[in-house]
Amino acid sequence: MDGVAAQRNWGATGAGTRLTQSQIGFLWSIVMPVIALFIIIRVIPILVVLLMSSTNFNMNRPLVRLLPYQNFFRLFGDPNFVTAFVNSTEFVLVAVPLEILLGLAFAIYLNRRIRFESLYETLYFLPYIVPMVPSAIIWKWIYAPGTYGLANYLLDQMGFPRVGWMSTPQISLLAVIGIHVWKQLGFFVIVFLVGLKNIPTSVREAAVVDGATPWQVTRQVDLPLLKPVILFGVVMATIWAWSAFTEVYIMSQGTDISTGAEIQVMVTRIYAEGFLYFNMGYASAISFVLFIVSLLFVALQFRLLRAEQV
Amino acid sequence: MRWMIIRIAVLVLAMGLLLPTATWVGAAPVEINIWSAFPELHDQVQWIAAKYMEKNPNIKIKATLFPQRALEEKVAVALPAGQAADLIELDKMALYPYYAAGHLQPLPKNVVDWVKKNFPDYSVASVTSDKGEIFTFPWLNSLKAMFYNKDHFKEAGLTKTPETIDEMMEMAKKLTKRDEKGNLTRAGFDLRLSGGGFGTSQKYWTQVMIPYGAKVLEKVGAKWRAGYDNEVGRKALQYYIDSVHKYKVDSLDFKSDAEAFGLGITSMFQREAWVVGYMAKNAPKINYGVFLMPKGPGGWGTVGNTMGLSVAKASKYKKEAFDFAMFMMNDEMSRATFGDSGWQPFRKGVDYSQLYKTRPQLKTFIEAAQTKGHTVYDYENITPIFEIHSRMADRLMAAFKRADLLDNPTGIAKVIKETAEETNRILEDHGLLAK
Repeated sequence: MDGVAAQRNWGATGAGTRLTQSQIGFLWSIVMPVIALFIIIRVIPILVVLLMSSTNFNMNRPLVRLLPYQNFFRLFGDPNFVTAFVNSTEFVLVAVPLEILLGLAFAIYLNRRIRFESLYETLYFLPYIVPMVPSAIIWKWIYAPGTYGLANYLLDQMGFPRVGWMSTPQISLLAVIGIHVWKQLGFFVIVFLVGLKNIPTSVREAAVVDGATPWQVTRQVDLPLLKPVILFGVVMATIWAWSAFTEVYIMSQGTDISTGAEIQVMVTRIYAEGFLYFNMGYASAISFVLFIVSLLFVALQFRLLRAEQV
Repeated sequence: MRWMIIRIAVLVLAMGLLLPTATWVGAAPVEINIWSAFPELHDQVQWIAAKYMEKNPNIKIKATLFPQRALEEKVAVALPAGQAADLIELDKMALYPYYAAGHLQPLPKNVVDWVKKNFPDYSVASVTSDKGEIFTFPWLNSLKAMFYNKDHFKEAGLTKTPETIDEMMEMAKKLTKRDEKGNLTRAGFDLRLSGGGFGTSQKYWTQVMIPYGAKVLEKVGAKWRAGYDNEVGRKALQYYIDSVHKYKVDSLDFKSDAEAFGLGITSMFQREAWVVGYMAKNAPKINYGVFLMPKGPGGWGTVGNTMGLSVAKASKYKKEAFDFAMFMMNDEMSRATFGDSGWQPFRKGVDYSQLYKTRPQLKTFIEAAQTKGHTVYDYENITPIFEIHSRMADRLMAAFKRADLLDNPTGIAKVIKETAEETNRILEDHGLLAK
């Protein structure tokens, strides 16, 4: 065994690279608590949800019956679930590209050593650290009907027709997605900016020496090297978009601007079924569908982006 | 002698061990927790609690305020686990399922006698279960009446308040105002077109279902079914669609509810007595009055749902909790609650004459329950009642936005049929559907 191999097999005293029983035991004792914790916190709740989704369990009804597939079949005939599923899909398809593209654009711009760079970074990041509840309440005022809301007041002052931000079904969901993007954008700007700053300047300089334009440097140097960070961003944005709740919940409370069922997404549906109507069995079925769908989306993203990396 | 010394020592030791415990038990104040959902009621409970603690220094009352939905969630988790407050304030339709599941303490005999003596019969009936137990105090009455802006009426040349729903629509048309672009600047009639889940269906029930004679639920034997998939149910929805899309006396793009009334941009709207307190605080210059809900071809009445006050079965201090609840509802506290918070106590025989001098609008709410021919409705005591009304509200709010339902009886019939099917499906899920 050469010196490097010996160094890798730290503490190994047996022949070759084999670990002794006590070393294996020691490793298990370190790993087991983490695995146990993962099973308790992640695996068991998922199994419990799957089990509950096969029952008619309602917190207000003592009798529980086994419904092996009925809850899942019922989902497809439930207009509330169908609306929520379509809305959540729209949420992901609109919010994720917006967050990633705008996040990248702002990060690339801020990476060019502009004046007041720190100020801009703070401003972009500010919405991310403001809690969602006060943010959504401010947006509620912005979208308020008539000229009592800031958005319509400004449109009115500029001579444009008013918009039914929360009363027009086609616009309401986009308006709520706007809040979500506004809130999360700062996070992606900062993450991408850190990624860009970690790219060695020598690589860019070499490209410039070879005659590359700034756009070519961005496209052929920055973006390929930033791919792992972009993958992280896409996965996080997707998970957050599927699990959007507070902004939708706040915007559908109160008497002035809410549109109720039309802006509902999967998580608000789970909340309504589980905690308003106590239909825990049915809420679990929706949760399980959400889990599977978001898992598939994330797996697909890993496959696509990692495949390109290779 | 030695044995005597040992015996005395053991006795002293035992006394020594028991004494601090006895002192601690004797001095420990009883703490009663109460959870509230409305800020104005929370303030009132705190004020009442201070009065009660003056008289009962050994009892400490701790009141905690939550947003309504948060309270409902907290109760859902804590009450079955035996971790909820001693006293819980919620609408009785939200409390009933917990009683049915055995988490609430029915009122004991002496308290039942007191309630039967001091509360109107219909309020006692609304909180009495099929088993004959009273499961919550009928503390407050969320009775609905119409508020109107007197100056708007005068300006439109209207000299009286409407008596029928058709008359109300005609008046609303005269009261409505628009700017040169056609945007609504004053709603003749705020219909409560969105928001708050079951609150929307509650206002719809009061505004049009009762006058047309449609019922959300009708009882058949010991079970129930949707009572609005019929001609009167369709007429009720037609009234709303016409108001929004034909006569345009209200709009989805216009400010609504108490805030709009306080701003003077709504001429008429339906709400509870708490608005009187709200107006005194936020819009004292608005000249307004209150009238009973208008009649219709199918009936006359209003919804007066019950804000209950229940004692948790797991409470360690049930006797004290019941005593404090009764104190909250005595004559003096009822007067203070009505005057300060605007929430209308259910108590009967309380003299409000002094209060009427400064808040004359409150008189209509008290008289509403005593007016002959004017029926006060409350929610049925069945477990899925909240779900039935909330899901109905979701479908109604979606329908109110649909301009294609104007002059479209087939479309309206379809909306009503699908909504009623959902109501029946929920009843069936709970084994309550009448065939």
